[in-house]
Amino acid sequence: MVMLDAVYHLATNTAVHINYMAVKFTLILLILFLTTFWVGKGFNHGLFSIILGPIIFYIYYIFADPTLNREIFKLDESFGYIFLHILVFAISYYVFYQITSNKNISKKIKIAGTALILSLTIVGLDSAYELLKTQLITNNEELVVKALNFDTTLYFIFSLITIIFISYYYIQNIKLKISTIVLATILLNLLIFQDLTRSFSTILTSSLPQLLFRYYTK
Amino acid sequence: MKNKFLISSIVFSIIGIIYTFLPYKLLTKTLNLGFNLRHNDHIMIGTIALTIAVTSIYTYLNRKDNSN
Repeated sequence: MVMLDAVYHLATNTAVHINYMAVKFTLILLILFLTTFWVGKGFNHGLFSIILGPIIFYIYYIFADPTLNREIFKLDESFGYIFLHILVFAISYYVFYQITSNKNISKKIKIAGTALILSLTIVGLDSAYELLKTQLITNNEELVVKALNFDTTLYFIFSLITIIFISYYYIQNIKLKISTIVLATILLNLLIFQDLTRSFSTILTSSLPQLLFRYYTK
Repeated sequence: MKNKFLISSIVFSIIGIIYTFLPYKLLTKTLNLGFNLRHNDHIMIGTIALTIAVTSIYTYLNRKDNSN
């Protein structure tokens, strides 16, 4: 959800600010975890989470002190962005719910959903690494905002979707499947961003979501 | 078990309201609940508490509906 939101912000020149992304991620994760843990997953519970999440996040936006210069950077803090956050949250929840709980969907659609979720998670973690690295090195939030680029991020997402789809469709052995995707992520990252440290960090950011997904769905 | 969610929703609502909506000076100088944290940290604590409170009340209502 957070990565879909970030892609929209990159496309519309709205700042992808690491502090707000971290707050958004924490609150969304907490709401989703508590609702699923205490009540379960389903249409009503999903609706509750996807509406409550953006509202709580909007409350944070209203009451917190701004840390970025609003004259230079545009942020997603206006009321209308609640609906965007609800939409991207609903898309992610729906796709994940369908691929994990619906037994009647076809294999191709299930794999396509898995590829979408996994690629967005991998790119999201990789972007978080890049934003955090820039923040730690420069200690300048205005430089961090400029760390991500829409074209390269989109290129990375679509390449990963294709690779994950092909791997999940043709490779049956789970270890081989995960290793192939990790290796492909490293190479893709190196090819797109030309940063060896960043590309090696994808060993972790690519394998972790896959192992978690495997653990959850087996 | 249901009452635990009701109690937690009340407790976390109070914490959430105090940390999210009260002015920074009132929280730090008058109530001494600042813990040397920044204003944005207080808001973060408050929104987390509000999240737990609202989810607790939802869980409480959900379980109450199921038991009826």
